[in-house]
Amino acid sequence: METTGRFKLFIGAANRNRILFPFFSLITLIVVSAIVSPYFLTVINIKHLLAQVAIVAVLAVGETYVILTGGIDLAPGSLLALGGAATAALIKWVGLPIPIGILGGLFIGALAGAANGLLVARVRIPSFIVTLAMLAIGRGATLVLTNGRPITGFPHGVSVIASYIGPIPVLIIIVFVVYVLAQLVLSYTKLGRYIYAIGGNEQAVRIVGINVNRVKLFVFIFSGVCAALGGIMMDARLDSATPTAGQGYELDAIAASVLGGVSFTGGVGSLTGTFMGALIMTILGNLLNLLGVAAFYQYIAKGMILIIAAISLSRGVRYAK
Amino acid sequence: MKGVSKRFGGVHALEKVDFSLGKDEVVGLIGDNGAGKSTLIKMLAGVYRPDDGEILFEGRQVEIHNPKEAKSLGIETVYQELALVDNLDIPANIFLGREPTFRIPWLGIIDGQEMERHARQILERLKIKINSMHSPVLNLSGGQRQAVAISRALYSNPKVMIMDEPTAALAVKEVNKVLDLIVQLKKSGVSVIFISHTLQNTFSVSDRVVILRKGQKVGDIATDKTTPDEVVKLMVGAEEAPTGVV
Amino acid sequence: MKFSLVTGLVLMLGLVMSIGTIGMADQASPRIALFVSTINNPYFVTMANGAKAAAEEFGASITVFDGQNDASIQTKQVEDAIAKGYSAILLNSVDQSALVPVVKEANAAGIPVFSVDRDVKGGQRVCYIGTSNVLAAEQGAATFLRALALTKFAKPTPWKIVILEGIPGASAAVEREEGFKNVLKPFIDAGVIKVIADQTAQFDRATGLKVMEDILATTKDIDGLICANDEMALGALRALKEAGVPVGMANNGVIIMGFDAEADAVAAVKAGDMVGTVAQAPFIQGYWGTEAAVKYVQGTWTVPADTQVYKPTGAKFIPTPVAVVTAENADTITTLTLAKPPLPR
Repeated sequence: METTGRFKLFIGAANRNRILFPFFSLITLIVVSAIVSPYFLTVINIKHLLAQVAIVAVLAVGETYVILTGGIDLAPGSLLALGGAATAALIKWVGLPIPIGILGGLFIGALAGAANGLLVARVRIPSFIVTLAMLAIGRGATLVLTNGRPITGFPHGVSVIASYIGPIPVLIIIVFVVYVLAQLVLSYTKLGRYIYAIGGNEQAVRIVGINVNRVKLFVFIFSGVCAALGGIMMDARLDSATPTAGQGYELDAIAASVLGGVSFTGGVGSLTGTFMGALIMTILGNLLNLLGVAAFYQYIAKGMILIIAAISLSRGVRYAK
Repeated sequence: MKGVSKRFGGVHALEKVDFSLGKDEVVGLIGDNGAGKSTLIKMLAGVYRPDDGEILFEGRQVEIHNPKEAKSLGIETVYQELALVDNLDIPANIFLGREPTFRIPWLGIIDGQEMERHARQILERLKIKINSMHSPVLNLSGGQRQAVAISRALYSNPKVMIMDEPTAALAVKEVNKVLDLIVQLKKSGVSVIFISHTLQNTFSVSDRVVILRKGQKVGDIATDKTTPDEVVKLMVGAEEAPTGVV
Repeated sequence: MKFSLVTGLVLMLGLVMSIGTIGMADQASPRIALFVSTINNPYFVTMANGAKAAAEEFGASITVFDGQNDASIQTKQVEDAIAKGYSAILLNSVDQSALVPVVKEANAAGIPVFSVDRDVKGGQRVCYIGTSNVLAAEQGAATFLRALALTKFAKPTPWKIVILEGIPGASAAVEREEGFKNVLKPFIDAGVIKVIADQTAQFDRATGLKVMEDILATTKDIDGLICANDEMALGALRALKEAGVPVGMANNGVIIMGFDAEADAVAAVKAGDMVGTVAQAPFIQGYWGTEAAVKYVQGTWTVPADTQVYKPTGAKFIPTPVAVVTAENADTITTLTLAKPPLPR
């Protein structure tokens, strides 16, 4: 009795956070992949898979924060390149120690995020427009910084970030830490509570005297930092910072959030869901590559999955504004 | 409030209106749309500032610059629908903006158990029964939602509570619950300003009614000395104002 | 509120200004407009540098426009330039068909058009200065095949190779694939070579890494890898090294061939990780294009009478040098790619 009660409670909670659909989709996808491709459940493939999911997953954390407040961030792909290039330039050209270079890259990401946040929160320009502008500016700034060329060949310390502990990529450990901390903030702090509340009813949050602007500023800065972190992880993985890195990644981050059950109107969703969303995206691409499906069909397959997810989620627990 | 005025552009939303509220008193504020009811209460709530006139609170002249200052004076406002955050649960809504936290500096970690305990206490004080504290308030009935909104206002032990259309869009049974709540509030020592379109409701809970028309006060009468018919005439301007006790 | 507006705008403006100050110059000298398909690629940055070098040398001003790989953006840029009365247009078209109408507009306005690196299919061009991607890819594939045979001769055929293609539908991707297949097909048909994977990696390094990781999950028995650009080759190289798969001729490992002779790839060739990369000459393309345009406008140069015709588009074709960079010539490659050989007359 007790256990079924608890189970029901768990299901109820899970359902509220809309992670049931992504959870079952993920399980289904894994089972199907294992059946269809004998290479899927091999150690080497899982190892690669975890490294591949890391960068999109880390961008998706910041994206989820922004979407929870009812906004959207289109800049992560460009800020990934900017943060990665800034770190590379600081380490390689300026000759700073690696940790300082990394902090510098994260700071650049925070700065760009702050510009987004100020314009959204204080000047009240829609986030779609502001971050669309930052998508262009971030890419342009990266090209100016790198003169359009890749920065290659870091000191050995950088590649530690992209190494493996046994079969576990260090990248996924970083991502895990980021997710746990970010989820704790969402679930157990005032800040997290206000992020959900703003997505639910911004007017009401303003009326009770909460500084909504500060919360919005925070989520955009956080998203900028996540993007820069993604860029640094990309640097380590490729042993180079390319100015074209991360193009289109913002869409993957948004897709991961949506697949993970984060409501586009804000206020509903969780990072657990987002991580599962990122996994679904990555596994799908991985499976299609393992099967040797041509790129033309891969585009179509990914699009279809998004549509199916959107339909299924809108049929689940409805959250109407 | 003495002789308060408010203009929006060229429009006189309120002109030299006097308004008073006694201790433990329930005053019904009545008037057509655009008569100036909302403007009046928003000045008390700190949303607007009067262009002219003064506000006295417990005998002292005060200036209310923003909602926070209103709250620190002990004036709480329950707005119409917009005050609740649908996707959060009951305790989260009651404590929105003043969540109890553990004493770890910086982090602002919410003490969920403390919050739930307090929420239950407040709901009990109002004699409200709710099964699940943790489903989003979206799933509650209109009356329950109103109760949550009132609970939030009540948490800070206010001296004055302003209620803007608390019975709008409610079923009859629910309306009665909300009216009971107002009686409960009065008993626990809270003065209430009550705004409603429904005269019947206003009459059943108010000690006194104040009638506004086109930004001016046209009536201020003890409830037991008037009738709904008379009030309606004042609202639409069919009769000159007999001035009651100010 | 005001503070944030100002801060936000200053942040944005500062970034824009630093980019926008390029290309203000003297009005009297010939004004050349160079339209590159995208500045998001080192290749076109080098091309723009070549054009700037020539502009300085021959006393012209040059303005570089970034078409952002978008035909409608580039169309608008060319239209604006026609309106502003540039002396000549150097066009590196985003799309061979979509830009034809604006080329005709330029013709009508009497502004000479030179196509650089990528030609268009209609309108009057004075000449097309570029390489044939098909020919260049054939040279690369030939070098790849030679290295494969030299390294794997002891291994029983079929030798297993992976092909990484560029962005599906992009003309460079299509033409390079054609060049590769022209050379490889007879060997595939004869069973000497087996293509175990033929995937796109979007001309992108991170995608190259990911696709190769996925392929490595299915097999590590790979003899050769030929890529439609260096970015993909470098990403794949990283995956191979991570997985501990030997690369290069010296290790009897995977033979990797790239395309574009990017600095990183040339370094990889020197290190023996890649067997070669095809060097086009973006610097010379930009340099020659500008030199030809300036001198054509000044009346001191015209297309030589014996110039060949570029078959796919029918333009007068002035080919720029192509070289396959290998370990033997890698040290001298910068002199080749940054050289300023005389413009054919």
